[in-house]
Amino acid sequence: MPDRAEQSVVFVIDDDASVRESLLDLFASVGLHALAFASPAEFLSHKVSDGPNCLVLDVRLPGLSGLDFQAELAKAKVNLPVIFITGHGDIPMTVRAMKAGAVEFLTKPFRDQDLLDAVQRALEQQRACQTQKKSEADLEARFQSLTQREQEVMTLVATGLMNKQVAGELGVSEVTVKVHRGNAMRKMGAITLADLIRMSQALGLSRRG
Amino acid sequence: MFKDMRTGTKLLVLCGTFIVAILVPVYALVAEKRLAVDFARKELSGSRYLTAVRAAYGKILGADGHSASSSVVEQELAAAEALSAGKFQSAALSQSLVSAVRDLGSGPTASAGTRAVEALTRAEALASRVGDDSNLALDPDLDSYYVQNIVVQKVPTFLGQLARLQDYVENGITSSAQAHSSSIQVPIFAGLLRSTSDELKENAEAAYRGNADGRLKRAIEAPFGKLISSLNAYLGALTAKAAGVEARDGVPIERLHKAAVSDALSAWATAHAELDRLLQQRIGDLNRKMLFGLVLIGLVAGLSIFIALLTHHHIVRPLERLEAVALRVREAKDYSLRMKYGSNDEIGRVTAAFNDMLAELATARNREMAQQAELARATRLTTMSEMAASIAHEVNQPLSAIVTNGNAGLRWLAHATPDLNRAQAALQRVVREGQRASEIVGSVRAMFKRDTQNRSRQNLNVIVEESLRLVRENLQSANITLEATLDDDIPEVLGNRVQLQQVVLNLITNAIDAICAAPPDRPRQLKVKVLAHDPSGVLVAVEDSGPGIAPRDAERVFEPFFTTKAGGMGLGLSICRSIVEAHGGRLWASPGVPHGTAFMFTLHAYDGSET
Repeated sequence: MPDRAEQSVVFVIDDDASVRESLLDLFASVGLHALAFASPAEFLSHKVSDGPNCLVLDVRLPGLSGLDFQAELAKAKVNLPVIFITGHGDIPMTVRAMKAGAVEFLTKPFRDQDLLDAVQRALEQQRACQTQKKSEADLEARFQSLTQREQEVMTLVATGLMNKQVAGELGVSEVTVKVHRGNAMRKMGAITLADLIRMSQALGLSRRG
Repeated sequence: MFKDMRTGTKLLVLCGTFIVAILVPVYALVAEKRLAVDFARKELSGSRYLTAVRAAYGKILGADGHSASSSVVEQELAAAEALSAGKFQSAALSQSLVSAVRDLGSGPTASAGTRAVEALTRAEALASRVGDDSNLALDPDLDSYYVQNIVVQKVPTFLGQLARLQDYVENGITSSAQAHSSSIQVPIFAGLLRSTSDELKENAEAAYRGNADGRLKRAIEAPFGKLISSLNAYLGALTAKAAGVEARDGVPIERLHKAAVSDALSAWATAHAELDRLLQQRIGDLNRKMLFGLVLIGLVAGLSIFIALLTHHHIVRPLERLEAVALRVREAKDYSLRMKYGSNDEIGRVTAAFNDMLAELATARNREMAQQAELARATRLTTMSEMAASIAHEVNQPLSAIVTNGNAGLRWLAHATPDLNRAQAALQRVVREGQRASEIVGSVRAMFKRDTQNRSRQNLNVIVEESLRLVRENLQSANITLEATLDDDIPEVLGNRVQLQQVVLNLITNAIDAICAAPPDRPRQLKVKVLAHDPSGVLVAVEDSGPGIAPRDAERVFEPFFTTKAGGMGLGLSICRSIVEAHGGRLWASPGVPHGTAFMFTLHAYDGSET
């Protein structure tokens, strides 16, 4: 999906202009779209696109430190993979960052390949995450397009009941159940009964039923 | 008000009220005794008056050994009257006695006896008056009362009666007209005399009973016995004569009478002397009792005051010492002070508690001071390492940018169609960042050069001592002996206290690290010297017994980022040199003797100018 790759942005937050400049040039040399900010506040004021992004964050920042900012993001449930870069890191700092879910912790001056690898990894991770989220959202949208009766039939079928049993359960004729089931499969885009059951599980229908 | 008084004053007030309370009975005692003494003195003066009266008796009765010329009697009476100063209201009586005594020698011989009787009557009246008015008649003691009764009343009465009887006897013999009645008159007079002598006897007996020591009886029993016997002889002779029987032994009545009178006068004189003695004794006793009472009260009062002083000594003095110690502790912060005490009373317990409290305070303070020293040390060292970290970060930024730019340039060149423009731009940034890194290192030095506004006059001894105190524990735990030589006669220097301390502290901590890295068989010794330095300045030397520095590294140790230590940043000595040079001084290293390294720096003496 090349269009998605183009959408992805590497955000850089570092208070040192030279470092920002060099990083932007490095990302440009490998064809990555990057945006640089001098502080977390400046970053937050910028509209962030949905695409698979990642954040290259300096630990030592004016105002909020990089580690604190990472915590803020987690608290705000912003799903953005973080790669730390620092001029003078120690082990407790590293441990804290990695525990909080950082992708990588690099000490300046770092090997460019290490940073680029980390960025790729972060983007992949983000992309996979977003893909899964998107399919889940699709599935949910399709399920919501079913009528209430169709949802009921689909739920009961997913628990393994036969048409006759579903009809008995709902107090309708077996023919009606068959019609509802056919509609549900068509609307959900399920080719086989197995597909429908898998979708039901993804939606967690057995719980709802 | 009372509660705010000093305890000493309170005790003083207590003593004062106590003394006042004592003075009241003392006054009562003295007044009472003085009253009694005055009473006895008046008696005594009366008794003295009686001596003159007695002399008059002697004159009137013409007794042997008791007789004196009438002028002498007059003089004595006048003297006695003068001495009494009219207290006895006896002047008229005395005067009449004197005239009676004068009349004795004049007039017809036949009436001499009658005149004598008249004189005796007057003398008796005088004696009685003196006895009454001189308190003798009111005498409070049993013995002296009866003795005075004898002296003042009974003996004069007795002598008067005796004289009257003799007068009667003489006149009765010569006058026939009265002869018929002599048989009746003589027994009457005799009876009176006997009754008087009985009274004398009873009085004497009563006086003996009242006299505790028995001296009175010993003194007057014999003369009075003699008086009684001579009276009996006289009366016996008279009775016999009246009965017409002439005495067998032929002693004339006249002589018997004279003997009786003489014995009476002797007994009188003896009794009188005893009376004086008793009165004197009473006065002496009273004075002794008063003195004894005063001494007793004085002793008790003295003892009380002594106890008060003792209390003062045992309460106030320890409290004052406690206060003084507390004050000294507060002022000098010397918590090792303790107060001596020997008592187990409240003061002793308070003192013990105070000492315990001081001990706890000392412990707490030591702990606090140790913590503070540790904190100060940590702060100083942290400042240095933080500064180093900060510098490292500053230098790291351009270095990081250089690396990244270099890599980016390489990547532009490695493209299928190398982007030369972008590669060139990257290389230009590499150059720029390299210069920037160099500027940062330079600015670190400049930073210390610029910082001249916080400079003031400093004594390097103080700075070195403070630094040594900060690392004292490190020295102890590393088992390093310290040899500090601080010259007292060093000039002051102008400098930034914190920076100079950082230099000294850095040199010392470096030395400690070096000593710890030395072979274990070497003596672990740190020498710190502060000396006056020619031409006018101060030299501080920190010498360790460590492994020493290779000669080729002797100058390199001052370069930034050069280090011989595993965890070292390589900035300490570089910063130290920057600081010293910024202060216009010099910092260098030279090999130690016999081994190790000596780091030395010199600073110019403060000459009064601000630069």
